[in-house]
Amino acid sequence: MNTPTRNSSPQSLSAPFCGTVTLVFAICCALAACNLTNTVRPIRGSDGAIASVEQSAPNWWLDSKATVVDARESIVSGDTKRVQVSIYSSQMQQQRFSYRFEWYDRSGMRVAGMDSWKSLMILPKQTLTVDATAPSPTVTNWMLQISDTNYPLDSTSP
Amino acid sequence: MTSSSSVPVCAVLIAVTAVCGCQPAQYVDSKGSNLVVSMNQVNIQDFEAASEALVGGMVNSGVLAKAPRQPAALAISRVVNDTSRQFDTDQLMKKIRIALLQTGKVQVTQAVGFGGTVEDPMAKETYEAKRFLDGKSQTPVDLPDFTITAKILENATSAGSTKQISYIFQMSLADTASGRLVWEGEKTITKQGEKNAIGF
Repeated sequence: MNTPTRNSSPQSLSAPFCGTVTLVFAICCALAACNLTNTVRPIRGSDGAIASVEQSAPNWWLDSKATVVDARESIVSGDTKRVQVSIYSSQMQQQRFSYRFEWYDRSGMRVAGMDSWKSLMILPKQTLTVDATAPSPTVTNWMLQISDTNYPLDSTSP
Repeated sequence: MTSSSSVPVCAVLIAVTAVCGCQPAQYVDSKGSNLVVSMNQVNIQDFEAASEALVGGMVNSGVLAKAPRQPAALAISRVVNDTSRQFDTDQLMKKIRIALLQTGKVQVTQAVGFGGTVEDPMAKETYEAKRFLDGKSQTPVDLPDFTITAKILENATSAGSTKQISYIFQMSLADTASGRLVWEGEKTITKQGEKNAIGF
């Protein structure tokens, strides 16, 4: 009777191979998750003021170092919206992230301008404020996008 | 090494090689975060960030909304590039003008220009011809309510092999009715590293 060897048995071959493939797949998935963008939208009360913020955070790592804790709005120059958003990092090390605002008019159409990506450094347990002024008086709403920067193996981001 | 152990190793090597391989030319978002960051020159994202910060500061101050006529007439005065690199300052000023026009608070006059030259000579000639035909040659031209001056400075230093360069964008807004500066803004962009990189 032949004793099964590691090379000859399909079952003994597949176990470590599958384990490695699973590990590689998990690493790839983790790296892919680093590419996801978190978004924050204001939830408005009946008076149009910000009641709270709605956060979509598929990137949990990014969320841990850039969580939006509150948002405020004011009107400047008589008719132009200004937004301030407080962002908190629960990390114990200095981190970086990128963000940008997108602006929308009353019809929900995007208003271009003042919407470039900006990079920020955040200290451990720090809460910092990002500030933006709408590009036009026609802007009535906004969305904040937060993206990870300098994640492993790939520097491409939105 | 047995063939069974070399299979996953090869798979990992192939995957790493594929990810780290040479990158072919591609289009990227000019306002994105995967642009080249240079240690020796102003990048387009630097102009973008500076213009957004300066225009935002100007709008936030409310000074443009206080002009006696709306939209106010604006003219661009002297813009100085005092960095070690030569570049067209319109890379900054055009963005600022576009953003200011979009606010609806100002319009850029072509009736007068810095040093007697305007960006659009035909607009000026047509404007003067229409004034003549309308019998308004003796009335004052559309003088600007505000003028803008700007300066771009550079500050470079290093520690060991790490270089640091700061570009300082300064801008002033003058009310021509009083001759006073009514708003000033400054945006400093600092980059640190040993060499150029992609992404920020």
